[in-house]
Formats: sequence, structure tokens, C-alpha cells
Amino acid sequence: MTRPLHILVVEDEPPIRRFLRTSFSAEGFQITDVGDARAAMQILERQNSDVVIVDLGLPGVMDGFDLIHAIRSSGSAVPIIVLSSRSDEAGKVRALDMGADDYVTKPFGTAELLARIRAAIRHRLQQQGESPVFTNGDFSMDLVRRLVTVRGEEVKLTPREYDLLRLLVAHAGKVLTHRFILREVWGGDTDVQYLRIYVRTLRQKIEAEPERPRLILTEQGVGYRLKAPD
Amino acid sequence: MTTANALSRARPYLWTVAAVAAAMILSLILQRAHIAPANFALVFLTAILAAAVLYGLGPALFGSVISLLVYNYFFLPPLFTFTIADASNIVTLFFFGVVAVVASDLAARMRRHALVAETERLRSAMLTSLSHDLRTPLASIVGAASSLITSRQSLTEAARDDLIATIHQEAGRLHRFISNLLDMTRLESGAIAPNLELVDLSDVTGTALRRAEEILALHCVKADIPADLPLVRLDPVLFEQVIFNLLDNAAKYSPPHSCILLRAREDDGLVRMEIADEGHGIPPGESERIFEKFHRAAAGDRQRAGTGLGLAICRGFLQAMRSNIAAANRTDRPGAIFTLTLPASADASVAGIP
Repeated sequence: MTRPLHILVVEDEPPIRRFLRTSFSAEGFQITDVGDARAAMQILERQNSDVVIVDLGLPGVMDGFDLIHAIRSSGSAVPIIVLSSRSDEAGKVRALDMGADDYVTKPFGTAELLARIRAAIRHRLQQQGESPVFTNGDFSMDLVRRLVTVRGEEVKLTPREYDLLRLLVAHAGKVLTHRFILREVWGGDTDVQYLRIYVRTLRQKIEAEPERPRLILTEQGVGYRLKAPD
Repeated sequence: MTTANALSRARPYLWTVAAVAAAMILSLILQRAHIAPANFALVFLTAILAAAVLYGLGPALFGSVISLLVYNYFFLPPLFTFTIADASNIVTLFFFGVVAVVASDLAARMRRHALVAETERLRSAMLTSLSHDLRTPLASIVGAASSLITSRQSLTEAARDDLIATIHQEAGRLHRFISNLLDMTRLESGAIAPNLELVDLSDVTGTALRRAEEILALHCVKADIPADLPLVRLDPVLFEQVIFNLLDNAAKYSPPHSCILLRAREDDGLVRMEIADEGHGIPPGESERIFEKFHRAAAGDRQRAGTGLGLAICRGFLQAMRSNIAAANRTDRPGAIFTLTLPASADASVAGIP
């Protein structure tokens, strides 16, 4: 990329803005940070950001959810990453359903946030031209030949298992909510428990240690995430 | 919620009624033995005192009133009326009332003092724990950060990395401690509303193991969870925290390079899960007390900088999810073993799933 990525941070806590400013600058990003949703909207009207980072608990009339809603209503598809607090799974799910791309839970490390940002941007770029083969470690999925291999050996999947895995691979690195997966793979009319059983079966087929998964990761109370290659 | 609340509020009064009823039955038996009715007043007083000590002034006064009525109705002539024929019995009844009220008040005060003393004991235990557990990691963080600021030039790269790692690690400890405090507060304020779903046990233990990776860096972990285990009805978020706390506990109380075992089996409509370590085990007589908050196995347990909350949270969360936890020592070798009893679903096979 020729110009540096621009990141807009919307967070009311000055120490967190400060540490994000330092870390992002060190990574070569351009950053603008504001303390409330209105200021964020003003920035977005003037300037195209590549990623928006939103704290859900913003002060003022417009909170983080309102901001996500406003951004998506304006037709913008800019990746949105949410900063949320612990034990607020409902808030995370709500933000994701409203169109946020991903979240990190406070306290978070820079590495984690950067990974989320990269996954969100990669996904946006992929939508224009999806790569036909996904590889992570010993695992590989060829979307053209409909072939899944682990350590070079073919893995037999049922059509439903294949659809589920394909969906996870298409969004590699990004969290997918239970509801989203159920809608995409089953058409919505199914219970989460079936999804859980399918994930268990899939892990048994593709994970080296199914009881300690490294590929299909669970985001407790939210959904699943396929680990993107580092 | 409100009916449960009303019931828990009514319970002391119901027990008081039961105590008065017991006094009445005892008096009826004594009456058969031709013992003078005036003595029955003492039997009723005993019931009232018991109510005062156990439940406080309100139930005791309530007990006094029904005792007066019952005593008059069943034992003072003319029987089975609320009237009194003999003047001396009016005096008995009057003083019975006075003694009942005064004794109730005294006993209730005693009870309040005992409660206050218990709260004080807990509060001071909490403050000791808080100041120690907050200060230890904080001191390391402040110390390491200030070294980096003041002597950055003279530090070797290895020393700098070491200080940075200390800050990161100790901040993680502080975070776990504050999370525990928050969980305990949520439990005590009744703000825990479990979201019960059918959950795959291996999935939840997998995420807990992943979160505990740093803590378990020096331990080996063996997980033995059958692939065909039925799903369990739990709140996945709360249950992950339970497993995390148990892993944290096992890592704390067993030597480095020892193994932690996770095992689950189906057992008659339930799933029994065990987490065993290779530490010193639980001191005799402590297997229940370790679940009390701010209790730590062995008083000399300070250096481990636990919060004394982890296991209390485990039990609180599990009870909120209609599950259970018990602690014991291993029979095959030294070490503690925690057994969780979890409600399983009847059907968890993939067969028949769309």
C-alpha cells in the first residue's frame, strides 16, 4: 500500500488513546483519536478512514452502539472494531449484529488488536477477489477443488460440515456470531446446540488436539473464529 | 424472583410458627402427665428464645403473640376459649408476655452483635487480602516501570526485556484479581443470571485451557473428554470461568512440571468432571472450608498471592447453574481432586440433526 492506513479511534479514556496512538504510530499507521461519537462522525464526514475503533461505553448522547448504527446507516463499509469490557457478551453480540466487524475485550494487548485490524482489512480486500486456497499450518482448504487436507491427507466432510468450514475460512481471523453462522449454513431455523455438535465433529477431523483447538477457536458466549495464518 | 424473595422473607416466621407448634405439642404431652399449666409458659418461652436467637426480634415478637393466644386457648381454663376465669392466670399471662418481649429483645441484640462481629471479621480478612494482593503486583509494576525510566541507558537489553515482561505478567495478575473481585460482587449482589444452553464440555475446557496457557506454562495438562459425551446444560461464559479458576488453583498448589488432569464421564443422566493435580492435597478437615471466600488452605499460603476468592466463585457460579462442586484428596497419589457434577442433556448425538 502506498499511503499509510488511517485509523480513527473513538475512546473517552485518555490513557488508552495515548497508548493506542503510540503503538499505532510505531506500526506505521496514521491515527486520529477523538473522545466521543459526534466528533467521530465529523471526522468521518471529512476524511476516509480505513478502520474505526469504537469503545462501546462512550459518554454523551451517542454511545458506541449509536455510532456503529450511524456509520452503517450512512452506507459506509469501513471495518469497525469494538473495544468492550469483560462479561458483556450481550453487548459484543449486539455490536456485531449491528455491523461491527470484530471486538477486543479490555484489557487487551496491541498484538491482539493489530491482528483483529489486519483480519478485518484482509476480509474487505478478499471480498473483491477471494483466494482459492486457504492454508494455516498443516491445514489446507482448496475452495475450487472442494478439497480439505490435514498434513497432506484428505479429510472427508459431509456437505454441511464443508459449508460450515468454508464459511469460517472465508472469514478467517474474524469472529462470526452463532446467529450469523446459523443463518448462513442452516438458513437460520436451527438451535445453537447443533452448531456446537458440528464444531466438535469438525475439530475431531481437522485439529491435531481436538480438546485444545488451535484452528477453530471459540469466543465464549459470542461465536467462533477461524485462526488466520500469522 | 419476587415469589422466591417473599418466600425467603416468610421463612423465619414459618419456622417460628413451627417452634411454637412444637412447644404446644410438648405442653399437651406434659398436660397428660398432670403437670401444672403454669409450667408450660416456660416451654413456650424456650421456643420464643430460640426464634429470637435464630431469626431476630420480628419473628420472636410474632412468636410471643401466637404463644400467648395458644397458651390461653389450650391450657388456661376455661379451655378452648380466649377468656380467662382465674385472676392468677391473668397475672401469669401478663408476665409471660413481658418476659417474652424482653427476652426476645435481648436475644435478638445478642444475635445482631454476633452478626456484626462476623461481618467485621470478613471485612478485615478482605482488607488484608485486598491490600496484599493488590500491592504485590502493583509494587512490581511500579518498580519495573521506574527502573526502565530512570536507568534505561545503563540496563542491558536482557534486563530491559525482563522488566518489561514483569510489567506485563504482573498486570495480568492484577487483572485476574480484579476480575475475581468483580465476579464475587456480582454473585453477592445476586446479579448473576445464568444463560443456560446446551454446551460441549470439551469446547469450554478448550477455551479455558487456552486462556490459562501462560499460567500453565510450567505444567503438563492431560485432558480426557470423550468425543461422544452428552452436551451439558450450562452458561458457557460462567462455566469457562469456573474451569479457568480451577486450573489457576491447580497450577498454584502443585509444583512446576507436575501434571494436571481433566477428565469427564457420563454417569446416569449427569456428567461428572474431575480436575486433579499433583500437589500436597487439601489439609484434613478443610475440604469444605476452601470454598469459603478469603479462606486459603494453610495460613502460610500468602506467598502464592491467590485471592482466596477463586474457589468461592466456582461454587457460587456452579450453584447458580444448578450444578455442584466438591473437593477431596486423590486416592491414587498425593494431590487434590475437584469433582463437578453437571446436568447432561438426554440426546447429544449428531444423528437427526438437520
